Amino acid sequence: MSLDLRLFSWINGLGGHVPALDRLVSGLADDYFMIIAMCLVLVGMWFGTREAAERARNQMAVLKAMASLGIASGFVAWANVIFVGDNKFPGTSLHEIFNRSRPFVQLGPTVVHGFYQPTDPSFPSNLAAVVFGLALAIWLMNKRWGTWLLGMAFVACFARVYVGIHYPSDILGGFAFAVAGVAAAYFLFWALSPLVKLLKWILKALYLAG
Amino acid sequence: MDQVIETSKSVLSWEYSFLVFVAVLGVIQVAAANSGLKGLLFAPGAVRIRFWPFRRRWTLTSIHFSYLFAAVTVLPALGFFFVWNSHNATGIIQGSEQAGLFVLSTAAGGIFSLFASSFINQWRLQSNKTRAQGLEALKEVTWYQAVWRRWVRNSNES
Repeated sequence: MSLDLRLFSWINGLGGHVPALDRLVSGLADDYFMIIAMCLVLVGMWFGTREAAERARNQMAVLKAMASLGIASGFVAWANVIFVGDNKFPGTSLHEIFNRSRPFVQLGPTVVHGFYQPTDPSFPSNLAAVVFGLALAIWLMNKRWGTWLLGMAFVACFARVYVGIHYPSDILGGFAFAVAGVAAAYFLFWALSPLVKLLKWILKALYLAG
Repeated sequence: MDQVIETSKSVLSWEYSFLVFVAVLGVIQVAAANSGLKGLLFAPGAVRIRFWPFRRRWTLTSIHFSYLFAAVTVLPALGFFFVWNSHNATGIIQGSEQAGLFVLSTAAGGIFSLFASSFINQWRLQSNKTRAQGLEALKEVTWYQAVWRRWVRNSNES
């Protein structure tokens, strides 16, 4: 049995015993809950710092996090367009990886605990790409908030494996897309720094930032 | 059938947007209270209040109000999102649509907060001395006052 499958079996095997715990974890694995909670943290970071200099730094981190989130999600969508489909690179390992079925298709519906059964391929986890993209971008500029957000991202991804809709390797794939998204976002902010400065100036002049 | 699905999708989008809007209002109030941005608060003052049956009076400050406000806005909204998939088993909003709705709802929540707080605090905050720029100015004046002084009055004077 592969390490991926063993890890999946261990995490997923925690479920199905206590219905209340399954309901709790299913809420944490929800398509919306954790992403929105994390985005609300970004809104809080935008306004919620007493020192102006630190607030400005947090606002830059928030802008980078939003860009990372968008780019990482875009990378996943792009990869799906390129690799997902019966006629896309047939017979190659890329085809196998990107067209892999969800765990409940391979292992049976009993692995799903209190969650609906998505119909799209399993790899990569879009949620992992989004939440880790957001959290890593913040962590690079603000360790305190970044650590909290990374914790939230980890919980959401753990929950997705627990409820049986992703393998751990899907999460790892999403994480890789997140790293690429963060790198691209930071590069874009560096390359477009005059535009970023202009945006900051406009927001500050309108009393919306700074 | 298609029309029913389209209608239910539209209802889901409105539900999603409304919940994000409400949650953003609460988060902005807590953040503004913690960072001292008085011009952004919906309840900037303090009141002494007595809760029946207690004899003691408590002083509720803007920070208390903001947390109370967040408790009745952010927590229920997040609660709805927590049970979203179990209530709407097929209620999936596509990622790109979700991102767009989130940005629009957050912007709407931010704009509503700016205008509502400007209206609520327009007689309370009247500082003419502030030289602060950006959000920092909202520690002394409302958003409307800050914008008006910088962009309308200054251009009229010059």
